[in-house]
Amino acid sequence: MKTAVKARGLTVSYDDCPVVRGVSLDIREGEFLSILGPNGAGKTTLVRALTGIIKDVGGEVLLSGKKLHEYSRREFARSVSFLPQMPPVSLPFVVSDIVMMGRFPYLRRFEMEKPRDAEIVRNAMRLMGIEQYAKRHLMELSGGEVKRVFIAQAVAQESDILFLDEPTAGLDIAYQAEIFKMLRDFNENLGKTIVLVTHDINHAARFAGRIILFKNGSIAEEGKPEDVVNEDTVRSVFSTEVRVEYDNGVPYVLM
Amino acid sequence: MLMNHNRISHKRALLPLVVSLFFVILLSGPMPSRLSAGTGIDSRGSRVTVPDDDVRVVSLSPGATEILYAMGLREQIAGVSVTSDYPPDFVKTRPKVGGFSTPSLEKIHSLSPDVLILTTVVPLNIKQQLDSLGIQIFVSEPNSFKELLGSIDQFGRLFNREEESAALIHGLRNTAGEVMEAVRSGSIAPVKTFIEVYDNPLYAAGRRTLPGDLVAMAGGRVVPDTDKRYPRISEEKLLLIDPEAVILGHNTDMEQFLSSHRHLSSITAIRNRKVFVPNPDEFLRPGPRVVFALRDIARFLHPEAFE
Amino acid sequence: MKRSIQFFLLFLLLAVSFIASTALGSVTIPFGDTVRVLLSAVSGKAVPGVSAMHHDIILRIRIPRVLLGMVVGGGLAVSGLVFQALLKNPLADPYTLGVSAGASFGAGLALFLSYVAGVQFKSFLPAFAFFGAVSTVFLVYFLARTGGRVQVLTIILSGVIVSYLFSSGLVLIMSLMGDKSHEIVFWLMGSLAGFHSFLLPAACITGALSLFIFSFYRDLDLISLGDEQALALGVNTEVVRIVLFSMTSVLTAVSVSMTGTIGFVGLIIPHSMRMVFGPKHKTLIPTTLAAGALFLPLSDMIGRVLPSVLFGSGMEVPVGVITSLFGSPFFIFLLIRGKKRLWF
Repeated sequence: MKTAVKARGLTVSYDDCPVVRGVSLDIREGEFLSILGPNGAGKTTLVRALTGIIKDVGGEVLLSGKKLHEYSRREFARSVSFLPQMPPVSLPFVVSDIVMMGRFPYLRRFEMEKPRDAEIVRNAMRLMGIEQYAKRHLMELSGGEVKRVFIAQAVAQESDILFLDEPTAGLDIAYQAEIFKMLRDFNENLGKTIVLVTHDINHAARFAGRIILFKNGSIAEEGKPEDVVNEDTVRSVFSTEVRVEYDNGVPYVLM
Repeated sequence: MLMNHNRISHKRALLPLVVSLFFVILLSGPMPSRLSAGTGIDSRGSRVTVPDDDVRVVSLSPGATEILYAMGLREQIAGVSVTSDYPPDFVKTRPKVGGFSTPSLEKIHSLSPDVLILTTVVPLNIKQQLDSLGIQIFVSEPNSFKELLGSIDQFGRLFNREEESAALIHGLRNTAGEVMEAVRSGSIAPVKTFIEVYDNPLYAAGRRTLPGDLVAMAGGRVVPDTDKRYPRISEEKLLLIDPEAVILGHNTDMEQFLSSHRHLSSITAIRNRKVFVPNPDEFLRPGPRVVFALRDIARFLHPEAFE
Repeated sequence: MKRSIQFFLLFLLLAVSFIASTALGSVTIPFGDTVRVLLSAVSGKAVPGVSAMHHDIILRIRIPRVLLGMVVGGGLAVSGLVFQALLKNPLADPYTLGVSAGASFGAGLALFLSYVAGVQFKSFLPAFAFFGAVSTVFLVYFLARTGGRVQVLTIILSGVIVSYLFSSGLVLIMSLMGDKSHEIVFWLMGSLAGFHSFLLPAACITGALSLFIFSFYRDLDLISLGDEQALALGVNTEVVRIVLFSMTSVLTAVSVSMTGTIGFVGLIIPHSMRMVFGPKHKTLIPTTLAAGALFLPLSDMIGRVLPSVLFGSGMEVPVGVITSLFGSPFFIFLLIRGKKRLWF
């Protein structure tokens, strides 16, 4: 498997306080990777550094073998999407406008949107089941629907790699399962590389092909879900006692 | 026989008495004998009284400074505003107390004046402070030549220099009279004159101001025709009025004026370049030198009358 | 209302504003004459039957004012729009970064130097004001730079600080000028009279900059999603901010240096357009430009006409007063009507 994104000695500090400490990792093309860890472990910062949103970093990040800062933002955005945890809700734009924003990396300054762009947007909305909301304002939609809008935007971006920061936070169970299923669909059928930061151990363990346990700015454990998720690792990373059951080889964490 | 004798001897005794009385009266002060204080009425109609001996005046009005100097006051002028600049050698010797509207109350107070001369109505906060310091205010704001002469007269009464003020008034009247006579003798119609006191926005001096009065005396008809003293006027109205002459009463020169008023070049005065900038210290200042401005303006408006 | 009808109405209002501002003033001129003079100005032929004075009033006094009003109104409105988008602050206006304080200081300096040195700098006043305005931008930028990235909050704070700095400088100048300080006060009140010689370069710069800003319409849309998301979608937020802030500040500086500070236009025009036309900057930028261009001459005309009608005097109310007086109720009206489409 080819390496899509590689990080070497990635270090991020806020006010001399290291949040990400010399992390090295490979994200392989086409994999479904989930990063788990307690609050304040630095997971979001890690992802922000990997996507170039934070520029003041030590070490280096490579996308397809090329250093991050050698890419223009537009170029980079054609390959990599990032969904932050809190998408803005009080936006005056309608859904189709927001999804169309995903086409930004492909449109030059005075270039008009082409029929192909409109089609990609339509397909993205159809894929996420939000076509009927095309002319509605974001404020009128529920939390889950809003998430779907922004995922559709990432789909319209036609990027190979999707980074998502807590995409299921605050959503009810039905939506949670749905999002994960959708991401698996992207991964298996569309070949997209998914990197997911989440608190949801169980869904991660069920859907991800690889799990990284992140603690205090470093990788604590890394590997297949059944190898990584057990009572000992959970105890050491999350500082809490749990019971782990298995269902068809997939670990389940019970409180 | 005895009465005649007595009368002659009484007369002889009376003479030294009369002579000594005469000297006593002579030495007691100028005739006719006065109260030991002078009183004048200012532009507000307020009565102001100051002592005769060692009177101390602070003048915030450059015009008043010149008038007092012309009346012979010297050390009595205890302080002047920064803008008082004439006569230069005299004014240099006088302590300075600030500008028209920005006087230093401390400085003024330290000079212990009996009266403070101002040209305009005082802002309330300053007036209250002056009152509490016991400093009298004399406002001198003449809005015509006649009022200027009246002001000089009141100064004369105030400072007990009535002869000097009378002489000054007489002199100014004569000079003004000569100018007006020359203008009249030419028997030319008054020239429609616009007095610009500021250009952006446009402000004019009306006839009920001292500059306006001078222009009228010099043979001009002041436009716009209004009772307002310093009306604001739109450029359109100015085009409508179409003055024949323009007199500039602010800090500028003819070239500046012409270049900034190019879009008004259809006005008669501008077309003919009949624009004049009198010495602002003579034109705008209510002092003795207004007659020079009068003469210069008359020469400008009616050159034929002075050939 | 259909979008195309809205555009048409806007354009119509622009034309009405132009004609009304040219036809009305403190001197009454028959409407037919105005039209004939306007047409003749285009064709270049003289117009018989119209007095030279009326001719002059229309072509040499009113038209320059109206054109200046359109250029400045449009420039201020677009600047306000961009500042609101970049600072993500609905209360931002073109003067948020202290541009007006810098321009006023520059103007005050020109008047002060004339007063002190006796040389007439007055005709160069716009140049002084312009450099004052541009200096504030540099100053704000350098103050706001912390660790390689410029934060939005820091920019706003720096703008406030720099504003105060230049305002104090201006007050100092005014106190030094003492009795002559009324000259600065007049300039601060804002006016469309005067400095018309700079009209053509100002119009060209305003047009060019507006076009340049327009090319960033997508970036501006995406920035409203938040810096992180905008970055993720490919917007180089830092570069875009620097470029747009500089261009908009120059645009504001050009306007302010000729007319003094005219408030309200940069604040309410963008909001009004947002309420009517929606949030996409592709539509907002041209409509805001047009709305600003029609609003300012109209306000100026009211300021010229109203005192004549009410008091028969040649008085003119400063245009900045009119923009506030008429702007606020209009804004309230839009607010009540357009509750659904609020931005925030």
